[in-house]
Amino acid sequence: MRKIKVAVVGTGIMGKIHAQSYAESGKAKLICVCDLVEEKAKELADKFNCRYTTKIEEIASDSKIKAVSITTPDFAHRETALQMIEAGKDVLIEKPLATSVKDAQDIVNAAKKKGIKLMIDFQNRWNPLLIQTKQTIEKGEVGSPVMGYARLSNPLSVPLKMLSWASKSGPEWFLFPHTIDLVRWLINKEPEEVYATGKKGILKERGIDVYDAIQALVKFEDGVFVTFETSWILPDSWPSLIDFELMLLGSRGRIGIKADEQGIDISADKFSRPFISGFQYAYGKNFGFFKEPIIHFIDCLCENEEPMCSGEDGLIVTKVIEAIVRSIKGEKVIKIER
Amino acid sequence: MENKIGAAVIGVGRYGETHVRAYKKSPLVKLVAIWSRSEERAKKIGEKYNCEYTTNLEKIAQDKRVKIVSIATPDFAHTMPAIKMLRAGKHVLIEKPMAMSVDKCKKILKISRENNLKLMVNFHNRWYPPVVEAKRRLDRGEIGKVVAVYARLSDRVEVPTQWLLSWASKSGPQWFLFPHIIDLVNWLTGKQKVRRVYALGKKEVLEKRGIDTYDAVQAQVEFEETIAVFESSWILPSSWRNLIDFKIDLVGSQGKIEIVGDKEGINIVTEKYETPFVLDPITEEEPINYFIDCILNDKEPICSGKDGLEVTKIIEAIVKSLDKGCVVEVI
Repeated sequence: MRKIKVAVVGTGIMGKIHAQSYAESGKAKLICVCDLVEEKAKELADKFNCRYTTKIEEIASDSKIKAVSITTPDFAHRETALQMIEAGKDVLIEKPLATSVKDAQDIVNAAKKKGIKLMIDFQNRWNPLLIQTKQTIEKGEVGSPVMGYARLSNPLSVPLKMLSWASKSGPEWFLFPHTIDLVRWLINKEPEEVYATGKKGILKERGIDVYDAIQALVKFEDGVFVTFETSWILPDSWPSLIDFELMLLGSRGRIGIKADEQGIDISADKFSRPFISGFQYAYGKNFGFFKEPIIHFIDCLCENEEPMCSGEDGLIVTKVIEAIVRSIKGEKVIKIER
Repeated sequence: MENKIGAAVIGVGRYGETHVRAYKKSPLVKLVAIWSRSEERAKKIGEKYNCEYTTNLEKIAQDKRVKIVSIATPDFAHTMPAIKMLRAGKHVLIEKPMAMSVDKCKKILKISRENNLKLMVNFHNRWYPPVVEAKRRLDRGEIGKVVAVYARLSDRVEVPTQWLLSWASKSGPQWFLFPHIIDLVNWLTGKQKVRRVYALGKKEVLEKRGIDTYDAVQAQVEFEETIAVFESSWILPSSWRNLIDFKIDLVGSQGKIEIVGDKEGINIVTEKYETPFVLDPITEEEPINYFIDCILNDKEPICSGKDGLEVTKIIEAIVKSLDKGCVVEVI
């Protein structure tokens, strides 16, 4: 079988996971990685024995490359995506699709026009905890959805140390895509209205002008409502890289998820609960659910099927987040345009 | 015996009986009488605790031996007995919510002040040991200033459908459960002013069972310094581990506090999995002992009428937001 030739643009944390997943996939061949920083591109290319470049044009113009992962920072998806789509490549974009509805819409329109496959990497749909949740809801075990609460937060070290571009994102763009996509998928209803409040201060004082915390109450179809909460100011003593909690109340039952508790805690220099289910490197390969959507993308290309997590899914998530930001600023309820 | 202070309890349902029990147990109190609307219930509780019983409120108001009165009637029926007892010169401990409108709260508060009487609203969760610890840590500034709060208190579906059946439709999770968590958050975060409220609710499950109340409500409340979400539901499945689903998470500028209120150190696994309450004797009886102490030593209770009024003010705004579907500015 001929392997699908792929490239990865953006060699940060997720870019490395995409590269690793392609390298391990039996159906894809990683042939080039791209990063604005040459050293980073070279380092990854050396690891996977492929080419590297600092120019996205070089990837766009390489007709052998059929598919591209875009794992640049949150705000920097648009140009790369449009160039790759224009060049006729199938595209897998990290969440969020884009940090403005305009960018998201432009990418979706371009993909439609060109007839290429576009998938957004909402990897939590492959998280075993959420697969179980989805199946439980689909079996009707908890009845019809009534209300939910979804929280995904990070400790301070994420905006302060891990992300060099934190000030161009924010917890709403970095974290809400996960929970908003998940809830919409789990309850199988579309969002209609948003009201949100947010606080700034702590990160702003440290030179990063983004929200410390946001709470958003979203009304979905049939009057189902869900509060989404996110924060970037958890103390670094928090035992996990995430604080991830989900509660869904149905007419006949309740599902609770503590996704940062994954069955192991370690007391060493500090008390920690490592995040083990997403990505772990062992026995010379990559374990965990982060690789699953990437493999799904490749499978869909091989079988010529439409991937889960479409451009439309990404667009709706971006619409909700943009509405949240507008609601915070305008202190009012915002309707989500369909 | 003569030194003991005379007490009466008005309304002796499930929670009224807690007051009766606490007064009965206190060496400082003589439980004089109880009142119930139902002759049968009054007799049953009167005989069980060996005190006088009546269905006539006037009798308690005019009883000179009675100095302190607990009011534990249903949520909507606090105002009349409270005013009657205050007018009769008795100190009053009133169950939460103080009353179901700001006007009624103000009336109760005014009469208590005019007559120079003590008025306490029984926000008993301020005595729940994990909350006490959280308050201590917050006051020490251990997590800095509080940025965001998420507070949830829900009941299993048997509460509205079995326990409160007779008056569940006159209350709702917003009146029955929100007072607890709203008062706690007010108190824990330093009694900030409220700016704005927005809430959503859903009616279906209980309505189908003949109880016209919300199944669940979420309210966003913006305080001066802190944003908060309050969540309550009355349709938790009976398989849930405890009668309540209770948590408060506070994110501060320098730390985080998580209170889990439905897991108290013991899990019981029989035909179902349960995490029963074990701290109730503290949480439920200590506030009543505290009220007695306030009367005997002439101290102003921490859960004041003003605090009760503040809670009702927020819930009233929540109800307005639910009814009108809009953001409510709180003056």
